[in-house]
Amino acid sequence: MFGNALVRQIISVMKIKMKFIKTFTDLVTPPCEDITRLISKSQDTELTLKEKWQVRIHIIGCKLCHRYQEQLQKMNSLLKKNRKISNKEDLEKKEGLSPEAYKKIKSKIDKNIS
Amino acid sequence: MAQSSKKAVDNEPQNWLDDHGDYLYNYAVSRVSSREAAEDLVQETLLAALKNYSSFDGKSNIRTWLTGILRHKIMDHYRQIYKSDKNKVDIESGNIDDFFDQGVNKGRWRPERAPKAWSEWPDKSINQKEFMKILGECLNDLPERIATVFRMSQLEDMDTKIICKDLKISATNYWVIMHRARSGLRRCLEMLWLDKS
Repeated sequence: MFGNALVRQIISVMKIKMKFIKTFTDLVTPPCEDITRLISKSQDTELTLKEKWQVRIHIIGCKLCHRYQEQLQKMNSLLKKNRKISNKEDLEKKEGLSPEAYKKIKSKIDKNIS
Repeated sequence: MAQSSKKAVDNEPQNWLDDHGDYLYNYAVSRVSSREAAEDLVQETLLAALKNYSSFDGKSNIRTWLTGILRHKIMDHYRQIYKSDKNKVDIESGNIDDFFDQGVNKGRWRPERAPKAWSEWPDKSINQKEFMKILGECLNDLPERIATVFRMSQLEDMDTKIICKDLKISATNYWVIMHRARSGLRRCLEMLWLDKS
């Protein structure tokens, strides 16, 4: 009984704290729309110190922007991996030109050869 | 016919389409937004190669040489898309993405457009090929100008400065475009991927 009450108490205090943090980060940093812009920009260039801190503080209180940041990083690392894999073999295997396109190009080339 | 021993028989122009056509097409189609565009690029490439065959020194593989020409053609294609007036509206038209509230909660995520948790989403388990396939589909859904800049930067791995110079855009504009691209792609990946699982 006592344990349960204590846990409930702790949780409610934590909830209040979380709410406070959220309100705080909301007040001192620009809105999500601007933060996501900065998160994206950080993949293209180095952010200024001020911008870096704006992002850092904002995502403490904002789960959604934090998610956005993590997901962009995931996308980025998957793209990077892909650039490293040589896809030459792949290019051989895929379907290639359609018969119609082949014919069209063939006649164009034949005209130009003769 | 082949006086120069370097230019072997199987390099003869009439064989190019049969020997390398599919390869060139596959190379192109993964980089542009439609099959038709890729087909046109293959044709332009082969015609240009025909015209400039005398400049082929025989040192490199003919396929490498043709691919080099194709790459130039693809870059020209990107530039054209970017310059084309019909695509201009893409970037200048206000908030096409609509991810954020414009009312009382101005600038905050709209709940129904906010990022969802990617709990099962993809770390080591993800199949690279499948990811690239879905990404390709998502790229084709983006406004063409935006997709083009993203392709140059993230798929062709071109330097930002070169892209900006090439397309005559400012760095700020570049960041805006890339942000649009990433936001759109992130959302699209999320929808297609979560649909599947």
